[in-house]
Amino acid sequence: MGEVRVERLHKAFPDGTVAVHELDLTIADGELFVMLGPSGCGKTTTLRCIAGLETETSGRIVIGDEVVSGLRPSQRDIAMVFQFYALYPHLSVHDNMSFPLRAAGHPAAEIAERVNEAARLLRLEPLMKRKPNKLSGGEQQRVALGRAIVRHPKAFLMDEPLTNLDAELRADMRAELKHVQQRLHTTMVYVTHDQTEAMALGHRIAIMNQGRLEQVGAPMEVYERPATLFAASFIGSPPMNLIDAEVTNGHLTAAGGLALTAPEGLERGERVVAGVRPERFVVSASDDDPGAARGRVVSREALGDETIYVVETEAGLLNVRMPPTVRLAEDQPVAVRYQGTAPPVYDPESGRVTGR
Amino acid sequence: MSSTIVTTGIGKSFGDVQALRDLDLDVPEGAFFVLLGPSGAGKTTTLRVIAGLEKPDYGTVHLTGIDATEATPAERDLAMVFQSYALYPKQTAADNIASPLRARRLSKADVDERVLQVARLLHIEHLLQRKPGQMSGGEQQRVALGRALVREPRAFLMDEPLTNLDLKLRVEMRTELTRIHRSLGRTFLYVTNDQVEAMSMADQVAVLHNGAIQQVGPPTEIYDRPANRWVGTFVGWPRMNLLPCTANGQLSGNGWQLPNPGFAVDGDRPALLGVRAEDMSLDVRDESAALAGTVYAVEPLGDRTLVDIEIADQRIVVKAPPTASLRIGESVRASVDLDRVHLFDADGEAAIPRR
Repeated sequence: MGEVRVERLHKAFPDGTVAVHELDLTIADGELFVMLGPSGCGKTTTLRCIAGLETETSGRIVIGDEVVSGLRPSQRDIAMVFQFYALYPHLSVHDNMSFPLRAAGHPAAEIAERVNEAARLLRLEPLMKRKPNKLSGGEQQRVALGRAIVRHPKAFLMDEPLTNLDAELRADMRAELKHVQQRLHTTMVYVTHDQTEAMALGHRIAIMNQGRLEQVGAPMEVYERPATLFAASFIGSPPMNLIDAEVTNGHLTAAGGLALTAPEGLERGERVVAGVRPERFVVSASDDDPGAARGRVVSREALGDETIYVVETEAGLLNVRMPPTVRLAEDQPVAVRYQGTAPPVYDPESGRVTGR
Repeated sequence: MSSTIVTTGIGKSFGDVQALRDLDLDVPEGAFFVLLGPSGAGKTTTLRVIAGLEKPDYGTVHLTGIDATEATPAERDLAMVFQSYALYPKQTAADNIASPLRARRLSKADVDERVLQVARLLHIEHLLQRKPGQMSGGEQQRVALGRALVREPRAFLMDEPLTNLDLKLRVEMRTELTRIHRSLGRTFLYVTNDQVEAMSMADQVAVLHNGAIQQVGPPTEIYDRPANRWVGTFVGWPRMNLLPCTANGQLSGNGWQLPNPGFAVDGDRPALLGVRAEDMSLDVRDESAALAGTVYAVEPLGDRTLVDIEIADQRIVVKAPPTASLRIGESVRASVDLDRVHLFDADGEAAIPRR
């Protein structure tokens, strides 16, 4: 079983900086778990503690049903992938993939079986005799992934493996990883600072900031209802609109008369920060809706499949995502209206989500 | 409209490498003109030839109608902004911005007035007394921009000025630059490898590849009617799906067939069908215009979900609503909006027109 448990993990470095504060995580067997955060948030340190490359100051790591704290990386039965690529240039695809098994002294029949299985899964069969320099970038990536797969580890630990690839390969490889992980059902802990990658890959995402956990949840959960203002601003591009609002008669009202659907469980007169995704606003040349905010288009970014408008209103600069068929000009007077169920709202003091 | 910058038949080689071949560009006065291409396409060389930092092997550069091919950089009266800010570290933002004016013998009052105007435009009045070390990357980039703006040159040449900024700042600066361009009404020639920057800021985009212009036009035209396979797949994200096929009355590929929606082909022509992820739908209304395959991976992105579908030996990406719930290995059908598909010649790669 490949469950990974991080229990009250604390990591302080000799210079006194605390990289991880009393962190608790339970990663289910077969889960693709993503740790997301800006550089310095503690995600890589956590991964390195799981791998045994760092020693925790306190707390412990459990992999499967074994406490691995104190064990060397090689004793933990995990495969660590820093970045794909690093293939042996003088070895064929087949030999690159079988290398870790031969080094570990597995019997030949078993090596052949595992390598064939991985080659089938990654559609590498026609390429097995080639050298890395005869492969495309995408093919090299698949071989590197194959080399990790053949080891049948309890868990894969991956630290930004796609960072150095160009955008196109990254997108291809992302789908490949997700597909293969789901087929293998091997636990994967994946560290990234890229929110798109986190959303696309993860069964669940842990958002970290300054050594602490901001939120753990499924991608759409984290997207729809970020637990903190930090999580709200970290996920989504353009970012969530954060709007000061007051609970009035059945509504949330922001400056300029912008009305939002109010969540339940708030007191009348309470002041909150509402988190509104750009696709929850509609911008139009005119709008009779009394809850619409009047404003002016500051910029429009026609991206082909969608157009992002930035509209200046009394409630602040609002990002609005519209289909490409809507054509409004810069400087044009417009109205922005909210549509949909209640947005998440935040306590302006604590920055934590409140209401229901 | 008159042209600020015109290059005619520019060629430039570095040793054995031909960086530019017969490059024709026409940048209209007041345009936000973006030169878009991957690294190594020749964008920066083009900019340097226009600025006079590089001498072309052949061809001419005209600035506001005057032949400037032999002119020195200073005579050309163009302002360059680079991705590195190159500010004077010991000077305040105000002094950095004022530095190009020093040679001009303006009174101190005039210089101060001009610096303040620029600072207001860039929303950096509050930073004027700070030194570069006390500013964020985005703030330093604005000061660097201010130093270019203060000169009131003929045109601004910008070489990937946002590359070193983080994503959030880059998005903000895109909006800023469009706003600044509009309030100045000056010509901007902007070089980038980021198609989102090109799409979001430009009035006109010239797509450059291997030292040659592939297509020039407004962003939406480049996106909606790419001139060739290369432009089609370079512009837009996710990347345009390409499916090899034989085109005649039908479009037939490995494991799929669609009606030919009017592409002008005679006989059997080997071609590539180009379909953008958003021009397909998992909600199939018209059975005759659908592709069948199995789900390879599902990638929720929040505002949409990308569904990777395997059709025979190929993979395509379809954009679906965020609510889409599918399993890997599930059979699925994607209908194709035939009005919005592209067909490229398999050899020449040029777009095949519709009849």
